[in-house]
Amino acid sequence: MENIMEVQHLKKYFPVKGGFVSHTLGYVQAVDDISFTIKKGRVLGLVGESGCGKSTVGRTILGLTPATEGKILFEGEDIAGAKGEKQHEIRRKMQIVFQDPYSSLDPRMTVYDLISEGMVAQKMVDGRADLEEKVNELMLKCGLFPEQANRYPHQFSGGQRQRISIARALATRPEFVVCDEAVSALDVSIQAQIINLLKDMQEEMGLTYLFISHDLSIVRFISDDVAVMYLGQIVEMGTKAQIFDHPAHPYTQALLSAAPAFTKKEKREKKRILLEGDLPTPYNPPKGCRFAGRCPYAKPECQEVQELTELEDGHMVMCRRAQEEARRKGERI
Amino acid sequence: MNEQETLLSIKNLKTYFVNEDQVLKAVDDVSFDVKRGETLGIVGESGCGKSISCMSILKLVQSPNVRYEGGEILFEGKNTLKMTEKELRKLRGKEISVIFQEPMTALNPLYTVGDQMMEALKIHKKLSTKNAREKCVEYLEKVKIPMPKEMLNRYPFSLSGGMRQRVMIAMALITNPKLIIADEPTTALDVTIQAQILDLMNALKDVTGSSCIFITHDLGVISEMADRVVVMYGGKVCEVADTDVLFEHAMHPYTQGLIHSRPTSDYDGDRLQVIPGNVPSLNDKPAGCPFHPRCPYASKQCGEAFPPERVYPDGHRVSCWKYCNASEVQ
Repeated sequence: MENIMEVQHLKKYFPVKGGFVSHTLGYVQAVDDISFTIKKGRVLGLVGESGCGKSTVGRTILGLTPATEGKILFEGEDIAGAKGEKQHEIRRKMQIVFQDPYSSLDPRMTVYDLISEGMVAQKMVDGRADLEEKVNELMLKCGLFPEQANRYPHQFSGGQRQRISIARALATRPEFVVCDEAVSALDVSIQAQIINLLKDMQEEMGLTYLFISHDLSIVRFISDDVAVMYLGQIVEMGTKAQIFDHPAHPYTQALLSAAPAFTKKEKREKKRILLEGDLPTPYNPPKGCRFAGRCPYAKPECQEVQELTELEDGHMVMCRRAQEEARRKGERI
Repeated sequence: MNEQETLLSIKNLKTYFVNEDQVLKAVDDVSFDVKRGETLGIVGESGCGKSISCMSILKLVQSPNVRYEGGEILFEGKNTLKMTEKELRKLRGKEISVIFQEPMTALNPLYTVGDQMMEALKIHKKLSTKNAREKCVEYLEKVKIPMPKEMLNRYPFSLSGGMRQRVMIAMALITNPKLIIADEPTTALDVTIQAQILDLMNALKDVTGSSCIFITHDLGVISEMADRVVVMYGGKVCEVADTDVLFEHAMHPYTQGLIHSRPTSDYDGDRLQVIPGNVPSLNDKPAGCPFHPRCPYASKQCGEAFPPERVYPDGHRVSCWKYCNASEVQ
């Protein structure tokens, strides 16, 4: 399988201004040196807590906000800072579904306008009749009724609005879609519907997703690969089984154990690791391991710079202790 | 203390919002009990009436259009719906306290943490400032806030979400209330912080012995916190059962759907089970059982009338026509 998306050493810093002449005081390192690849047709789940930079990653990849440093290779081409015609072309191939279907749809546009906007801008249609047909087809696919095409977003419920967002994103026949907390704002019974719709569309159109979410059970369901972020860095990355069955980083372990147990079996098997303290801010973070301040196993060595290292078959982790443990295990075998 | 003794009893509560041209039945004939020392979970989706029914207990529903159209809420045998504002004030914050969802909006940004915590003590317990401060420090220690003395002089904006929620919990506990209403206390928090707060609340529950109503939309949180669960949908109670019973043998089709629409760790199917349709809005609630348009077992009867509640010997209560016609055996 070929890589559709390859991100190399991506950095996104936001300057913090202040003082009398508003000079730059420092930087919020929202995304700090991140590298990952997504293979065509797979789903990469990006998890982490609020403020860890997961949404910034999604937005930077799409060029919605310029990257500070690093390469973003889409189908082998570097698209960081693409402009003009090239940007236009990329915009067709890459789309995003936002979290909040209440604020991401223009309240003054009808559903028809919302869905057709991208196709018209990309000159993908052949006359009014063709456009109408394509919009109808998309609406049906996404579980909406074509009769509702002339309504406005406020006339729909949250779940239906998210269906509109999805139809709008899929209108330009993209290859890569970023789902930024696409189901977080929805009720539980509606979440399942939207997840299934995303899966249906993926199979039908051969899509690749970057699925950003803080909800581990949903990520576990939809993803093939998972990356865990903490304070702007990826601390662990691997296949779904590697991350959920054998989490190596203490943060991943704590995160997994923090999700409330659901069935009796889960409750029995689970031992909760409680983390001390709160998520620190990404404003001038420490040089070494960023998790060290909350880590139950922290040692003085953790203050040194950490590297993301491979444990086995693509299971990457940024933790000295996990790496040492893996080495010891390897020696024993 | 008798475990089975009922502390709060809500009977046929009807909380409506009356506009010029329509009546929105937010809570429609809801009944449930809270026993002493127990944690009752209320679970449901947005607009199901879970918060409104609990805020009705202290008449805290903030809308000029609200009408308490019927039913009674008995707190230790006294009907709070009939109480005057003065009598209610004696309950609020003293006998019954509330932990709100959004700790940033629930705390006043213009007062220090200490001022806000001491308010209840000064009013209800008539403590002096010095004694009140000592008590505040004691409770801030209980909720594991580092440097509690300094915390008293800080303003809410300078605290993180988790810390604010800890302050809210300390505030709710400080008067030793008999009942705590926790309205989605962890929804706005991150998972690792949520785990800290749930752990803290579980620990404090054992110490204080207060009863608690825990409102949430998250089934996982409910299964960790509650002894008994009330499932609400469209302003009605669908099912009441002990937590373990509910998760193993849910009876109401809505509860079943809700439980199955969450992917669990050992689920390896290709698609999630789905409840079709949308959550009904208040102004076009279906007649009869509010769930029937989405229910796989719906029959003609379901669209005509809301089913009577069926009570089983183990206390499992369910309102569904499917069980009204079935034989006695569960």
